[in-house]
Amino acid sequence: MRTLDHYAASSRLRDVAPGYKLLYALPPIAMVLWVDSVPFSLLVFGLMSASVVLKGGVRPADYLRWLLLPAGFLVIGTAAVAVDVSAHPEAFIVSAPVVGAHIGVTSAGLAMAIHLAFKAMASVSCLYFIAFTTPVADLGRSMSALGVPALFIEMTLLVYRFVFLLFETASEMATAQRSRLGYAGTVASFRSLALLGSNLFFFSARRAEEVYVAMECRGYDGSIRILAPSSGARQPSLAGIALVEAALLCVAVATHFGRLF
Amino acid sequence: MASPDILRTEALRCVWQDGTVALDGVDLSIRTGEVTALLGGNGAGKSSLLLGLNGILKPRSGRVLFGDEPLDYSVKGLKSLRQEVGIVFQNPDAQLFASSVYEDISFGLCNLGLPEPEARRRIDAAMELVGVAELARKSVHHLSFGQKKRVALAGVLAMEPSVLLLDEPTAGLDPQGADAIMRFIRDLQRSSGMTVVVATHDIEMVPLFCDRACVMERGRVLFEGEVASMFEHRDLVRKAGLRLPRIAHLIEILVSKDGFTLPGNAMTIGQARKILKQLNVKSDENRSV
Repeated sequence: MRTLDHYAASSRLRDVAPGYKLLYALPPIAMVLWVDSVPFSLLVFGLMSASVVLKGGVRPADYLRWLLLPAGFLVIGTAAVAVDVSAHPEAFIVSAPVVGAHIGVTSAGLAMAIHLAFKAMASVSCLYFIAFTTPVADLGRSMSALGVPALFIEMTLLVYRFVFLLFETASEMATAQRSRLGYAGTVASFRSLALLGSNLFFFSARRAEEVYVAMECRGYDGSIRILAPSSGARQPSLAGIALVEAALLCVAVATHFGRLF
Repeated sequence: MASPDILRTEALRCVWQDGTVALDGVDLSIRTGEVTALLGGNGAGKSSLLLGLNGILKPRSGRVLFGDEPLDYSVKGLKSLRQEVGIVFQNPDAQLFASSVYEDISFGLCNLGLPEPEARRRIDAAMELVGVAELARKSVHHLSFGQKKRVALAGVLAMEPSVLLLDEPTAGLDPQGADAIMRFIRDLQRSSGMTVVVATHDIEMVPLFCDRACVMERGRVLFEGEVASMFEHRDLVRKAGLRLPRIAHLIEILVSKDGFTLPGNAMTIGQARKILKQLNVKSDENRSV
């Protein structure tokens, strides 16, 4: 499966200045959490999903597959909210007696779980919009525009770069172990995993040394100074985004005060 | 007139932290404006020598001279040395650290303290030169191995060094990719007069793209001279765990085992064609007499 990073790099919205994308996708999260209504959550979810698929150019099937990931967590998480324990079976819609008490689902619990699930999915879709359209390096640059300390951004971007390297190396090592039956059986699996972990540690230390030497060769003196590509970023119309946000906000306010839905 | 040797080592001895002797008394001169091949088997000390020339590996004894000045290992001295002597490492993943291609290439230039317009001009020129201009905004981890190698090269070329040290530039590339990068380096040296040192065990490349060869074994220099004279010193080449280029080997066998009398030596297809043509002409003459 392609990583989210691949989608971001090949997105049709990639060249839109990251600030605009954040402006588009972050306020709806706050609105969803504030309004707490299923139809409004659905509205935001639909809007963000449509943006990712129609504007960003992600295939719907791929997008749905990526949604399964948080959906899995959601089902487990919200199930716990819906289920309750009580001595009286009449409070439940469905229940089962368990050693002197009853475990089951109340209508209030169910409603809460459904609310929660929709809220969470709507928020996830907003974050997915950013993740599917904005490479991490661009996010880093926009963080610096917001006044996040340079050291923090440097660390983030270095970690981001080397996580991929570490991941690649780990999967190569694991493949090599698997080809020698390293994961046949529980004992072998534990041993192989332990070896993999310690090898990765040595690998990281050595790689850090190599990178440091290579950076020194290019005149590194303790602070990383780089130039971002001259901003060929598209600046979409601020009015358009403001219009969408304002419309959403109106719907949100109306929903919250019971005029709608 | 500038010295004919831009870099020189005198009895250079370097020892790794664990006590392994990396270089054991190396005397070597790198000629200005030529391509020098550093040859040797694994662990012969090629990479160590490159690190020594760049001031990363400090000598235990002996010294390295740039121009006619011994290297200055102070922070300031190293900074000015590395502006002049650039090194491209064998593994591009060890060299590329920034998240996008453009940012990585900009790193060295920012460290030189160039004004931004000049830095941007040089980044664009370097990307154009190695043919990665369309990758500028790509993440480094989305590149193929060959592309990463080119980006690593661009990052060093952008600093416009007068000496370029390359550690195994062709390792891990397919034959055409390897040829392309060596041809590129050769063109660069011819057009800009850059001095190039290539550590490699890709012996077939040497007669095609290099002027001089230096054969190393166990931290010592066994032989140093014109590439053409490698043929005469083939015993040393073999002692170092290397072999002659295939064509040279063929010529050697034709002469020593099959009794051919050839009008010269050849290490490349071009040279071999030349002497075979001469042979052809001679036999035609013999027939017509």
